[in-house]
Amino acid sequence: MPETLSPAAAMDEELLRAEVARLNKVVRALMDRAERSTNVQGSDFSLFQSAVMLEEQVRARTAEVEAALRRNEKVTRDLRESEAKFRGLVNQSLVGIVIVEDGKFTYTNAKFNEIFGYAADEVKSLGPLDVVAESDRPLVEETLRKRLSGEAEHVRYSFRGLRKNGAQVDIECHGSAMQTGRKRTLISLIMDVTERTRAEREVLALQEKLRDESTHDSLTGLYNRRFLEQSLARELARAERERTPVSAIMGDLDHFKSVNDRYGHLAGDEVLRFFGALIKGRARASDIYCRYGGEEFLLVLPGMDEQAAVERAEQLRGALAAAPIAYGSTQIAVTASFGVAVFPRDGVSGDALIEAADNALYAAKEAGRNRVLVFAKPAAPSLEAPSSNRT
Amino acid sequence: MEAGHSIRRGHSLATDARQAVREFRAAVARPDTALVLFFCSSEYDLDALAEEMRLAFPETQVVGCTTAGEIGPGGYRDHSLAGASFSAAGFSAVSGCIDNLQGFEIAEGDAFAQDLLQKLESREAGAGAVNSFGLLLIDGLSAREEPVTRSLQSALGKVPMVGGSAGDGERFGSTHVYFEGRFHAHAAVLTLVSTRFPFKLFKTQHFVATGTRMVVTAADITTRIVREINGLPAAEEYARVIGIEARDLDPMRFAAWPVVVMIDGTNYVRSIQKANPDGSLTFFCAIEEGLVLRVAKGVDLLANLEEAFAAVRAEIGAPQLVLGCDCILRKLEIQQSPDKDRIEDILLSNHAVGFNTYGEQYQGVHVNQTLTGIAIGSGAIKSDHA
Repeated sequence: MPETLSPAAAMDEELLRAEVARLNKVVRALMDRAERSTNVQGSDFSLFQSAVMLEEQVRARTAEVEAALRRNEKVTRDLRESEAKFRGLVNQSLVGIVIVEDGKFTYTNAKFNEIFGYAADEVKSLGPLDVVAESDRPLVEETLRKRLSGEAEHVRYSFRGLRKNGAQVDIECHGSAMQTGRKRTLISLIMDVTERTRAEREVLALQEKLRDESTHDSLTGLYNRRFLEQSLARELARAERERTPVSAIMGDLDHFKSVNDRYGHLAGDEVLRFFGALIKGRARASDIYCRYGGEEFLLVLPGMDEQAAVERAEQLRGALAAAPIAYGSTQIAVTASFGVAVFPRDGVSGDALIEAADNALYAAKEAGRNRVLVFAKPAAPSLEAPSSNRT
Repeated sequence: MEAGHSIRRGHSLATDARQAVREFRAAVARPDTALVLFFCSSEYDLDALAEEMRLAFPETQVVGCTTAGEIGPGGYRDHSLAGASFSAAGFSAVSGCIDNLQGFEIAEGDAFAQDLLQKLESREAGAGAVNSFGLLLIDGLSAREEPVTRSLQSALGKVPMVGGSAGDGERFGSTHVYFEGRFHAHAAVLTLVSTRFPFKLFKTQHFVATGTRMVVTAADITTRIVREINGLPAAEEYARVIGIEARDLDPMRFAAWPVVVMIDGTNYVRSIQKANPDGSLTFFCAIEEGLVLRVAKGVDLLANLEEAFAAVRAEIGAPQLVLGCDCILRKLEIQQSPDKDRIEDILLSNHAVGFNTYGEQYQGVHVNQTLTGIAIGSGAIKSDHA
C-alpha cells in the first residue's frame, strides 16, 4: 500500500474522487496479482519468483542433506574412533578375551592368541576344547555346558591349557554368557596363571622351609630345642593319660672339643652331622630326636620303657664307636656317652625328665665315657652304678 | 603446465575494430586453445570485428557479446575489446546459440541445454557438476532473460550457470552476442566449460531495502515498462518517493535508488533502465502489475566487493581469472565514487575480465545491479567444490 497520500488530496471533492480512484487502482492491481499468482502458467516475473523460491528450496535442501551427511560422517568417524579405542584397549589388555559362538572362537584378542601361541587367523578355526589339556577337557566341557544351558551365568575356574606347541599352561578363566538374538554367546576372560602358580608353589615351599628352619637344627637336620619344648609337654601329657612310659636318652660326644681342635670346626660339624644322622636313622616315627646343645643330643621315646631305651642307646653308642667317621681322607674315631631316664619314674615334668637324663649322662662321663647309664635317684645309692648296664 | 599460462587475458583499447582484434589476438593467442571469450563495445564496426575474429582465430571456438563497458587488464573501459583464451590442457568447452529469443519456449531451452551438456560429456568424459560450469551471454534488450535463465539452469541441473545480458553502451538500441564467426541479435550463447581447476560462483550486491513501499498499478510486461506506480504516472511517482523532480531522473539516480522486490525474505533489485518521455519507466527485468516494490539504498560497495573476493580467495586461493558480469548501474555509481581507483585495483588484482551488463544471471535467476561471475583458481581441482 502507498504509505503517503498524494499532497493533492485536499477536501476538494474532485480531488477526493481522484484520490479514491487512485487508491482503487492500487487495490485492484494488488488483487489482480494475488489472483494471478495462483495460476500455474505464470508471467516472466512469476518465473523469476518461482526460480528464486526453487533455488532457495534447493539450497535449503542441499544444506540439510550436506549437514546430514556431515553428521553421518561424524557419527561414523566417532564410531570408528570408539571401536579403535575399544580394540586398542582389548588388544593391549593383560588378559585374554575370547568370544565363543556355536562352539567356535568368533573373537580373540591379541593376548589370548599370545597365551596359546596361535596366529590370529589360525585361532578362528578352533574351539574352546582345542586349547585345553586332555586331562581337563571333561571339566571345561562341563562348565561350557552349564554356561550354555543357563545353569551358570558367571563361572570362575582353572584348568590346564594346551598351547599350539603342545606345552601346558595354567589357565584361570572368568566366564559369562550373553544372549544375542537367539544365540547364546560365551565371553571369557583368560589369564595365564602358570607363572603365578609357580610363584605360589615357591612361596609355599619357602614357607615350609621357614617353618622347618624354625623347628629344626640347620646343621644336623634334627629337631631343635624349640620344637622339643613345643612337643615334649604334649607327649608327656598323653603318656600320663594313657599311662605309658616315655624314655629320654641324652647323648653327648666324648672329647668333642679335641676333635674341633685337632681337625677343625668343619670336621667337628661333620661329626655332629654324622651323629645326628645316626640318631635320626634309628628313630621311630613317633620319636623326637633333637640337637639339645653343642654336642648334646636328646631322644624322647614315647611308649618306651627303660630296657628298650637302654638298648637303643647301646645301639647308638656301639654303632658310633664301631665306625670312624670319614672326613675327606681322614678317619675320625669318636665315641659318645648316654644317660637314660624314664617318665614318670625319674621325673614328672619335661624339665625333670631331661635333668634326670642329663644327670645319668654326667654319671656316664664320670664313669669313663663311651657308655650308657640309667638315672639313679640320689636317695638310692645302690642304683647309682648299675653294673648290668655298663659296658 | 603452469597454471598461469592456462588462461591468457587481453584488452585492446584501439577504437578500430580490426586493430583491436589484432591486438587482442596478440595478447591471447596460443597453439592449443579450447575457447576464446571476448567482450566488445557496440561502437565497433561489428561486421569488421566479426570478420577479423574469424581470421584471427580460425578453427577456434570464439564466443562474445557487446557491452555497456569492458573490464580487463586495462581496467574499467569504454569502447574497448577485452577477453581471455583458455588452454585445451586446462579446459574443455562447448557452446551453442539460441536464436529468435522472442519465440523462446521453455521446452526449447531444456532440449538445448541437455544437448549441449551431452556434447560436453562426449568431449570430456569426466565432466560433471564438480568440474563444470555454464556461461550465458544473452541479448540484453530481448526481455527474455527470466524464462531462458530458468529453463537452462533447470536442464543443467547441478552444473551451475552464470551470465550477463549484453549491452550497447546505454543506447538501448540493440545488443548482440557473438557465436560461430558472427554477431547475432535476439539471441543467447551458452558455453559449458569443464576444467581441472577449482572455481567458485559468486554474486555480490550492496543494497538494503528501506521501509518505503510502492505498488505497480499499470505495466506492460512484455516490454518491461511500468506506466503507473501507486495509481500515478510511474516516473513522477518514483521521483516523488525518492525526493526529486521527475525531470531530474537519470541512470545515476536509478543506480543510487534502485527498487527491490522481497522474495522469501531476500531483496532482489529490479533495476530501472530509463525514464521514457511518456512518463513511464522501463526496467531491466521482469515486472508486473500488483508488484510491491521497496525503495532501496546503497551501502559500502567497496567493502562489499572486498568481502566477496576475500570469500573467493578463502575457497579457491588467488584466482587466475575472474569472469565478471557487472551491472551498468554499478559502473555508473563506481565512476562517481571516491573509491573508484581502489575498486578498479581489486578487479585488476583478481585478474578480472568481463563487461558491464544490462542484467546478470546467477544460476536460474535473472538479477540486476549485482556483480555476478565465476572465479577460476590455479590449484588442482578440489574434490568437493560447493
